[in-house]
Amino acid sequence: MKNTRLCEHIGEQLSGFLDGELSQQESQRVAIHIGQCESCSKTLEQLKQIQGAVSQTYYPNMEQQKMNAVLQDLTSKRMFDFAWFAIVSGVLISIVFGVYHFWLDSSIALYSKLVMSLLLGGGIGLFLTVLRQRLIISKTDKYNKVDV
Amino acid sequence: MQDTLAQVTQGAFKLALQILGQNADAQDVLQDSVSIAIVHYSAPKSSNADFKPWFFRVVRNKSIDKLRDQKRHQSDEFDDQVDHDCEVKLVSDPEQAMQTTQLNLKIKAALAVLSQQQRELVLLKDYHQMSYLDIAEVLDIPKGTVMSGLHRARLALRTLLTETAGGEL
Repeated sequence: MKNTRLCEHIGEQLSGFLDGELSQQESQRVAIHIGQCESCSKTLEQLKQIQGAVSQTYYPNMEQQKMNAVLQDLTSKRMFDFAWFAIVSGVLISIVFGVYHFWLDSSIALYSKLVMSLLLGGGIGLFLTVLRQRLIISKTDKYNKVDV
Repeated sequence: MQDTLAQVTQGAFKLALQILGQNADAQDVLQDSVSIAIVHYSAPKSSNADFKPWFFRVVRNKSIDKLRDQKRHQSDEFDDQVDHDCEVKLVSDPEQAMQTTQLNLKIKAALAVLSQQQRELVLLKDYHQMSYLDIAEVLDIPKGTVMSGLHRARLALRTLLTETAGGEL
Protein backbone atom coordinates (compact mmCIF):
# COMPACT_ATOMS: atom_id res chain seq x y z
CA MET A 1 0.00 0.00 0.00
CA LYS A 2 1.30 3.43 -0.90
CA ASN A 3 1.66 6.35 1.45
CA THR A 4 -1.88 7.53 2.09
CA ARG A 5 -3.60 10.15 4.18
CA LEU A 6 -4.12 7.43 6.75
CA CYS A 7 -0.33 6.99 7.00
CA GLU A 8 0.03 10.71 7.68
CA HIS A 9 -2.72 10.49 10.24
CA ILE A 10 -1.10 7.45 11.92
CA GLY A 11 2.29 9.25 11.85
CA GLU A 12 3.33 10.03 15.42
CA GLN A 13 1.05 7.28 16.74
CA LEU A 14 3.67 4.82 15.49
CA SER A 15 5.95 6.08 18.27
CA GLY A 16 3.10 5.93 20.77
CA PHE A 17 2.39 2.36 19.61
CA LEU A 18 6.04 1.38 19.97
CA ASP A 19 6.16 2.83 23.49
CA GLY A 20 2.86 1.30 24.59
CA GLU A 21 1.41 4.75 25.26
CA LEU A 22 -1.75 4.53 23.12
CA SER A 23 -5.25 3.69 24.27
CA GLN A 24 -6.47 0.20 23.42
CA GLN A 25 -8.59 1.58 20.57
CA GLU A 26 -5.75 3.63 19.07
CA SER A 27 -3.38 0.74 19.46
CA GLN A 28 -5.71 -1.61 17.58
CA ARG A 29 -6.13 0.92 14.79
CA VAL A 30 -2.35 1.25 14.38
CA ALA A 31 -1.88 -2.53 14.55
CA ILE A 32 -4.44 -3.04 11.76
CA HIS A 33 -2.82 -0.31 9.65
CA ILE A 34 0.73 -1.61 9.92
CA GLY A 35 -0.57 -5.06 9.00
CA GLN A 36 -1.72 -3.56 5.70
CA CYS A 37 0.86 -0.83 5.04
CA GLU A 38 4.38 -1.85 4.11
CA SER A 39 5.76 1.67 4.46
CA CYS A 40 4.49 2.21 8.02
CA SER A 41 5.49 -1.32 8.98
CA LYS A 42 9.04 -0.60 7.77
CA THR A 43 9.12 2.72 9.64
CA LEU A 44 8.01 0.99 12.84
CA GLU A 45 10.73 -1.63 12.41
CA GLN A 46 13.35 1.10 11.93
CA LEU A 47 12.10 3.00 14.99
CA LYS A 48 12.37 -0.24 16.98
CA GLN A 49 15.98 -0.67 15.84
CA ILE A 50 16.80 2.93 16.77
CA GLN A 51 15.16 2.48 20.16
CA GLY A 52 17.19 -0.68 20.77
CA ALA A 53 20.43 0.99 19.71
CA VAL A 54 19.84 4.08 21.89
CA SER A 55 18.96 1.92 24.90
CA GLN A 56 22.27 0.08 24.50
CA THR A 57 24.34 3.26 24.20
CA TYR A 58 27.02 3.30 26.83
CA TYR A 59 27.44 6.07 29.37
CA PRO A 60 29.69 5.49 32.39
CA ASN A 61 28.34 5.33 35.93
CA MET A 62 29.40 7.87 38.50
CA GLU A 63 32.24 6.53 40.66
CA GLN A 64 30.77 4.36 43.40
CA GLN A 65 32.58 6.17 46.20
CA LYS A 66 31.23 9.56 45.11
CA MET A 67 27.77 8.13 44.55
CA ASN A 68 27.72 6.64 48.05
CA ALA A 69 28.46 10.08 49.49
CA VAL A 70 25.55 11.53 47.48
CA LEU A 71 23.21 8.75 48.62
CA GLN A 72 24.14 9.36 52.24
CA ASP A 73 23.21 13.02 51.79
CA LEU A 74 19.84 12.03 50.38
CA THR A 75 19.17 9.52 53.14
CA SER A 76 19.87 12.26 55.66
CA LYS A 77 16.75 14.03 54.33
CA ARG A 78 14.79 11.62 56.53
CA MET A 79 16.59 13.05 59.58
CA PHE A 80 15.73 16.55 58.35
CA ASP A 81 12.03 15.59 58.03
CA PHE A 82 12.07 13.84 61.41
CA ALA A 83 13.60 16.90 63.10
CA TRP A 84 10.80 19.09 61.73
CA PHE A 85 8.19 16.56 62.79
CA ALA A 86 9.64 16.51 66.34
CA ILE A 87 9.64 20.31 66.61
CA VAL A 88 6.05 20.70 65.30
CA SER A 89 4.80 17.85 67.55
CA GLY A 90 6.51 19.40 70.59
CA VAL A 91 4.93 22.80 69.96
CA LEU A 92 1.45 21.30 69.41
CA ILE A 93 1.61 19.16 72.56
CA SER A 94 2.75 22.20 74.59
CA ILE A 95 -0.16 24.27 73.29
CA VAL A 96 -2.74 21.54 74.03
CA PHE A 97 -1.42 20.96 77.56
CA GLY A 98 -1.09 24.71 78.20
CA VAL A 99 -4.69 25.36 77.18
CA TYR A 100 -5.92 22.36 79.20
CA HIS A 101 -4.21 23.50 82.42
CA PHE A 102 -5.19 27.13 81.86
CA TRP A 103 -8.91 26.21 81.70
CA LEU A 104 -8.67 23.93 84.74
CA ASP A 105 -6.90 26.57 86.88
CA SER A 106 -9.58 27.77 89.38
CA SER A 107 -7.54 30.82 90.47
CA ILE A 108 -8.12 32.53 87.09
CA ALA A 109 -11.43 34.33 86.55
CA LEU A 110 -13.73 33.01 83.82
CA TYR A 111 -13.70 36.28 81.84
CA SER A 112 -9.87 36.20 81.81
CA LYS A 113 -9.99 32.67 80.47
CA LEU A 114 -12.46 33.73 77.75
CA VAL A 115 -10.43 36.80 76.72
CA MET A 116 -7.16 34.89 76.66
CA SER A 117 -8.77 32.05 74.70
CA LEU A 118 -10.19 34.48 72.13
CA LEU A 119 -6.80 36.17 71.70
CA LEU A 120 -4.99 32.86 71.37
CA GLY A 121 -7.66 31.39 69.09
CA GLY A 122 -7.56 34.48 66.89
CA GLY A 123 -3.77 34.32 66.69
CA ILE A 124 -3.83 30.65 65.73
CA GLY A 125 -6.63 31.31 63.21
CA LEU A 126 -4.62 34.08 61.53
CA PHE A 127 -1.51 31.92 61.46
CA LEU A 128 -3.40 29.02 59.86
CA THR A 129 -4.95 31.34 57.24
CA VAL A 130 -1.55 32.68 56.21
CA LEU A 131 -0.10 29.16 56.27
CA ARG A 132 -2.90 27.92 54.02
CA GLN A 133 -2.32 30.74 51.53
CA ARG A 134 1.40 30.03 51.48
CA LEU A 135 0.80 26.33 50.89
CA ILE A 136 -1.56 27.05 47.99
CA ILE A 137 1.05 29.38 46.45
CA SER A 138 3.80 26.83 46.94
CA LYS A 139 1.73 24.19 45.12
CA THR A 140 1.22 26.37 42.07
CA ASP A 141 4.91 27.31 41.97
CA LYS A 142 6.58 24.20 43.27
CA TYR A 143 9.91 24.67 41.49
CA ASN A 144 10.39 28.32 42.37
CA LYS A 145 13.80 27.65 43.82
CA VAL A 146 15.04 25.96 40.65
CA ASP A 147 16.78 28.35 38.32
CA VAL A 148 15.72 27.92 34.71
CA MET B 1 14.74 0.85 48.39
CA GLN B 2 18.35 1.95 48.50
CA ASP B 3 18.90 0.13 45.17
CA THR B 4 16.03 2.03 43.58
CA LEU B 5 17.42 5.30 44.86
CA ALA B 6 20.89 4.37 43.59
CA GLN B 7 19.39 3.66 40.14
CA VAL B 8 17.64 7.03 40.10
CA THR B 9 20.79 8.94 41.07
CA GLN B 10 22.97 7.02 38.59
CA GLY B 11 20.34 7.68 35.90
CA ALA B 12 20.25 11.35 36.87
CA PHE B 13 24.05 11.50 36.68
CA LYS B 14 23.92 10.04 33.16
CA LEU B 15 21.27 12.57 32.14
CA ALA B 16 23.56 15.38 33.31
CA LEU B 17 26.43 13.72 31.45
CA GLN B 18 24.32 13.43 28.30
CA ILE B 19 23.48 17.14 28.46
CA LEU B 20 26.89 18.43 29.58
CA GLY B 21 29.29 15.86 28.13
CA GLN B 22 31.78 16.24 30.99
CA ASN B 23 32.09 13.89 33.94
CA ALA B 24 33.17 16.56 36.45
CA ASP B 25 30.35 18.93 35.42
CA ALA B 26 27.78 16.13 35.71
CA GLN B 27 29.02 15.31 39.22
CA ASP B 28 28.75 18.97 40.25
CA VAL B 29 25.20 19.13 38.91
CA LEU B 30 24.22 15.93 40.72
CA GLN B 31 25.63 17.23 43.99
CA ASP B 32 23.78 20.57 43.61
CA SER B 33 20.56 18.74 42.74
CA VAL B 34 20.83 16.50 45.79
CA SER B 35 21.22 19.61 47.96
CA ILE B 36 18.00 20.99 46.44
CA ALA B 37 16.21 17.65 47.01
CA ILE B 38 17.23 17.74 50.68
CA VAL B 39 16.10 21.26 51.53
CA HIS B 40 13.28 21.90 49.04
CA TYR B 41 9.96 21.73 50.84
CA SER B 42 8.06 20.42 47.82
CA ALA B 43 10.55 17.65 47.01
CA PRO B 44 8.87 14.25 46.98
CA LYS B 45 10.39 11.68 49.35
CA SER B 46 13.20 9.73 47.74
CA SER B 47 11.21 6.51 48.26
CA ASN B 48 8.24 7.95 46.34
CA ALA B 49 7.60 7.15 42.64
CA ASP B 50 7.26 10.91 41.97
CA PHE B 51 10.83 11.46 43.08
CA LYS B 52 12.46 10.28 39.84
CA PRO B 53 10.75 12.74 37.42
CA TRP B 54 11.07 15.54 39.99
CA PHE B 55 14.77 14.86 40.50
CA PHE B 56 15.45 14.45 36.77
CA ARG B 57 13.78 17.80 36.19
CA VAL B 58 16.00 19.49 38.74
CA VAL B 59 19.10 17.81 37.24
CA ARG B 60 18.04 18.80 33.73
CA ASN B 61 17.45 22.45 34.72
CA LYS B 62 20.72 22.59 36.63
CA SER B 63 22.57 21.10 33.66
CA ILE B 64 21.11 23.69 31.32
CA ASP B 65 22.07 26.44 33.81
CA LYS B 66 25.60 25.14 33.76
CA LEU B 67 25.66 24.97 29.98
CA ARG B 68 24.51 28.57 29.80
CA ASP B 69 27.14 29.60 32.33
CA GLN B 70 29.88 27.99 30.35
CA LYS B 71 28.51 29.24 27.03
CA ARG B 72 29.32 25.90 25.51
CA HIS B 73 26.10 25.29 23.71
CA GLN B 74 27.71 23.68 20.69
CA SER B 75 26.55 20.19 19.93
CA ASP B 76 29.92 18.95 18.66
CA GLU B 77 31.41 19.19 22.15
CA PHE B 78 28.61 17.02 23.44
CA ASP B 79 30.16 13.68 22.75
CA ASP B 80 33.89 14.33 22.92
CA GLN B 81 34.43 13.48 26.56
CA VAL B 82 31.77 10.83 26.66
CA ASP B 83 33.39 8.99 23.79
CA HIS B 84 36.62 8.70 25.72
CA ASP B 85 34.66 7.27 28.60
CA CYS B 86 33.05 4.74 26.29
CA GLU B 87 36.36 3.05 25.77
CA VAL B 88 36.38 2.10 29.43
CA LYS B 89 33.61 -0.42 28.86
CA LEU B 90 34.97 -3.92 28.64
CA VAL B 91 33.48 -6.45 26.27
CA SER B 92 35.04 -9.90 26.20
CA ASP B 93 34.78 -10.43 22.41
CA PRO B 94 37.08 -7.91 20.65
CA GLU B 95 35.05 -7.97 17.41
CA GLN B 96 31.83 -7.40 19.32
CA ALA B 97 33.58 -4.68 21.32
CA MET B 98 34.55 -2.87 18.12
CA GLN B 99 31.06 -3.12 16.65
CA THR B 100 29.52 -1.94 19.93
CA THR B 101 31.87 1.03 20.12
CA GLN B 102 31.22 1.92 16.47
CA LEU B 103 27.46 1.78 16.98
CA ASN B 104 27.88 3.86 20.16
CA LEU B 105 29.80 6.50 18.28
CA LYS B 106 27.32 6.51 15.41
CA ILE B 107 24.32 6.91 17.71
CA LYS B 108 26.01 9.60 19.80
CA ALA B 109 27.15 11.51 16.73
CA ALA B 110 23.59 11.43 15.37
CA LEU B 111 22.11 12.46 18.74
CA ALA B 112 24.54 15.36 18.89
CA VAL B 113 23.13 16.76 15.65
CA LEU B 114 19.57 16.82 16.99
CA SER B 115 18.22 19.87 18.79
CA GLN B 116 18.57 19.96 22.59
CA GLN B 117 14.91 19.05 23.15
CA GLN B 118 14.83 16.31 20.52
CA ARG B 119 17.95 14.75 22.05
CA GLU B 120 16.41 14.91 25.53
CA LEU B 121 13.15 13.36 24.30
CA VAL B 122 14.93 10.41 22.68
CA LEU B 123 17.28 9.84 25.62
CA LEU B 124 14.59 10.14 28.30
CA LYS B 125 12.36 7.65 26.47
CA ASP B 126 14.74 5.20 24.84
CA TYR B 127 17.69 5.34 27.24
CA HIS B 128 16.07 6.21 30.59
CA GLN B 129 12.83 4.31 29.76
CA MET B 130 10.56 6.99 31.20
CA SER B 131 6.83 7.22 30.51
CA TYR B 132 5.43 10.10 28.42
CA LEU B 133 3.88 11.54 31.59
CA ASP B 134 7.24 11.57 33.39
CA ILE B 135 9.01 13.01 30.33
CA ALA B 136 6.43 15.82 30.22
CA GLU B 137 7.19 16.49 33.90
CA VAL B 138 10.96 16.51 33.36
CA LEU B 139 10.86 18.78 30.30
CA ASP B 140 7.95 20.89 31.55
CA ILE B 141 5.93 20.42 28.35
CA PRO B 142 2.37 19.14 27.81
CA LYS B 143 2.08 15.34 27.67
CA GLY B 144 0.50 15.58 24.21
CA THR B 145 3.64 17.28 22.86
CA VAL B 146 5.87 14.41 24.00
CA MET B 147 4.60 11.88 21.45
CA SER B 148 4.73 14.24 18.47
CA GLY B 149 8.13 15.66 19.45
CA LEU B 150 9.55 12.22 20.11
CA HIS B 151 8.29 10.91 16.77
CA ARG B 152 9.87 13.82 14.89
CA ALA B 153 13.10 13.31 16.84
CA ARG B 154 13.18 9.60 16.00
CA LEU B 155 12.50 10.28 12.32
CA ALA B 156 15.32 12.85 12.30
CA LEU B 157 17.60 10.31 13.98
CA ARG B 158 16.59 7.70 11.40
CA THR B 159 17.44 10.08 8.57
CA LEU B 160 20.84 10.85 10.13
CA LEU B 161 21.65 7.20 10.72
CA THR B 162 20.48 6.18 7.26
CA GLU B 163 22.65 8.90 5.67
CA THR B 164 25.77 7.73 7.52
CA ALA B 165 24.99 4.09 6.72
CA GLY B 166 24.56 4.89 3.01
CA GLY B 167 20.85 4.19 2.79
CA GLU B 168 20.73 1.20 5.17
CA LEU B 169 19.90 1.49 8.85
